[in-house]
Amino acid sequence: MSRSRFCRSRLALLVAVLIVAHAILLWRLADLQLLRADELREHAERQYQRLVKLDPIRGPILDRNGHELALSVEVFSVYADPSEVRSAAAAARVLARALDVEEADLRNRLRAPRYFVWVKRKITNQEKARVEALHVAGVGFIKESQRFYPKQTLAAHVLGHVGLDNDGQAGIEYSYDSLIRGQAGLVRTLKNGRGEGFYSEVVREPTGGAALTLTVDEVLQHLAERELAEAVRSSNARWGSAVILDPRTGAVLALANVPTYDPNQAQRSRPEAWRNRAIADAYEPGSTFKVFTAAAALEAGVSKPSEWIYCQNGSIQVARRTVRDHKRFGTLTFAQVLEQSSNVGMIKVGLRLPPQRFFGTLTGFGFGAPGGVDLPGESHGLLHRPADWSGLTQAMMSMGQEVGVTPLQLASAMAVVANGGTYHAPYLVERVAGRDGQTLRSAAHGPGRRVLTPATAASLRRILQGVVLRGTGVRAAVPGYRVAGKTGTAQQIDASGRYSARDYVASFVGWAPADSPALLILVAVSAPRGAYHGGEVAAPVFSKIALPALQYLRVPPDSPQPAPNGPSTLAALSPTLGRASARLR
Amino acid sequence: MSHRLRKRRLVRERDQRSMRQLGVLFALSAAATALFLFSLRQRVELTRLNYRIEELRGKRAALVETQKELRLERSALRSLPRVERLARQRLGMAPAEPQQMLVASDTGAVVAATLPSTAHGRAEPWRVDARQPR
Repeated sequence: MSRSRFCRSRLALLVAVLIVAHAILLWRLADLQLLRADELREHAERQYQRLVKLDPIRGPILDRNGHELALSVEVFSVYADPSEVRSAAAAARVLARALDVEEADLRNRLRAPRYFVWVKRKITNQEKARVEALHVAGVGFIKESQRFYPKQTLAAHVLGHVGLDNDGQAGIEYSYDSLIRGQAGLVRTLKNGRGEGFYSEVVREPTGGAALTLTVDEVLQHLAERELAEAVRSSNARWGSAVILDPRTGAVLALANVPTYDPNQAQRSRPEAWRNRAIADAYEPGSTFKVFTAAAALEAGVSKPSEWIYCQNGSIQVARRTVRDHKRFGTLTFAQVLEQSSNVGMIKVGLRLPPQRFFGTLTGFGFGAPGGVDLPGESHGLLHRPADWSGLTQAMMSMGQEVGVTPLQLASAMAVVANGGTYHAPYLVERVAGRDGQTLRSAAHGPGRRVLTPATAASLRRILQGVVLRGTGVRAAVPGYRVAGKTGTAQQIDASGRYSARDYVASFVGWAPADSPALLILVAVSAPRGAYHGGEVAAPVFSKIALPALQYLRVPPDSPQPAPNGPSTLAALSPTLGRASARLR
Repeated sequence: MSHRLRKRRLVRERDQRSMRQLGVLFALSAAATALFLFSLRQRVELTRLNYRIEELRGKRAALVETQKELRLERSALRSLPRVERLARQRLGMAPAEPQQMLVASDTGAVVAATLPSTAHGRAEPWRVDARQPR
């Protein structure tokens, strides 16, 4: 073979090898860039790109003055990647000690064939520091949102509480959950080789929850809770409820229950403490209900305030039952029947009413139906239709038995008398605001529903002042103010279905100042031991709440003569000082 | 003779055309390199700024959370049962009795005051000299 032919053949071989090599490269290029492009892009994105869910921030709940009652902040939660944990037993042992969790349960989770398990959610800063100091491989932290109630037990039954995933489970947190929970957002983050984010792009903005402004006043709530707790404690009672309303609008200024709980530790409380008795528990109201019988009788024209009623020396027979008064009353005026809380007198008045008329007036007061307050679990109460009444029912209802009311229903009904005859449904939420402060919803302050004529309401107001001045409610008096109200002492029904000889609900509902009411307060105490009458147990609580509450609201005293042990006015002490005070306004 | 010719120093003739072409190639390469470096710098700067933005976002988020925590703490410190407990236990304060209070009858504002007590133990009203100019 000649030299040149040899060279040419080697050259051809070289070219052929180069062509084959390039062909392989081209095929590989086509495979990576075209055939498997999508699969490889996804794989790469999983490595350097992460989609992070942004927890929605639950909206705050404020009192009517803007003070925070519930607020959410970010806290850390501990997670582990079991595939990266070297020794599940050793890790579980040290982590359990640092976080105060069950070691055996944690060990099982760390052995699970997964890439993500919770170790403990929503930990404190001290717990985080302890875990960081351990340097356990495979353990990391994630931020989550946690709800806090900085005032602890204050207004617990109004606010309710949330679960571990920030879902409302009771109270306002439950009723307005969809508005205040907000929506989770999504952020795409690019990470470098060390796992640090260096670029983020918001795919979907998280929408923060709405902010709720309640009608509740922190100071009034505290006063109600403090005095109610003391009353229940000192009388060894089973439970207590107190409600403060603005009788002119139906705004709930305070709603307190004992027992109560701390929403920050709801899961550690007894479930019975969560019960909002002020709206969920109906009880027979007893003598406080006589006000509504009297109102129905005056409206129907079957009674007059000036008439005399023979109370049969404290005993009356209705159907086959004898009903007695607490005293042997002879003849009383209509007003005195209420002041002295005569059962006989009120039964006689109540029996004059046509049943349908009586029933209609009571439903006008809101009995037998929920008021529609912004809380879950509101009871209808109990109000039988006339078709279901026995021969005894109308008489018993006249004095507050065979009817069931919740504390809030009773307070709302009494507000009708206080404000001149109009029913306003109770409400708790004044305003719902978006994250940027704009109002999404506000309470509709409608005209209400006319139940009584102003004349009837005025007559009842005068009579109910007599209850406090001369009648069973003298201990509800508030120095410097004219008070109107009614006591109640109602037997409770025991487990056998009969009226208990031992358990009563002692109550008082009233308002001040009598002629221009600023506050209506109801106090109900169940099963007090020792003293059990409304005038002895509940009326003093009313007074202890009302005086500081009226002074906090700067309601001027309206009593024409200062009470001997009451506050003095500047004008009464010195005309000069009184005039100076007026000029300073 | 041919051997001598072969040993003479060869003088390479400069190929001007090639030189020009090389020059142009070099210039183009330099320009491309400069452009590439400039673009690279932009990318590097962008990445650096993205890190900085992320860092600042993180700081801002942390400050927002700190502010919330402070609001929470302030709210807890202002809790009325706590304030009342401190007032009673640390400062020895107690709610004013009704007879200790002076009320501006027009506005309802209360000035809590301790009035001097009489021999009977009842509070004596403040005495004001009406002749004094106010």
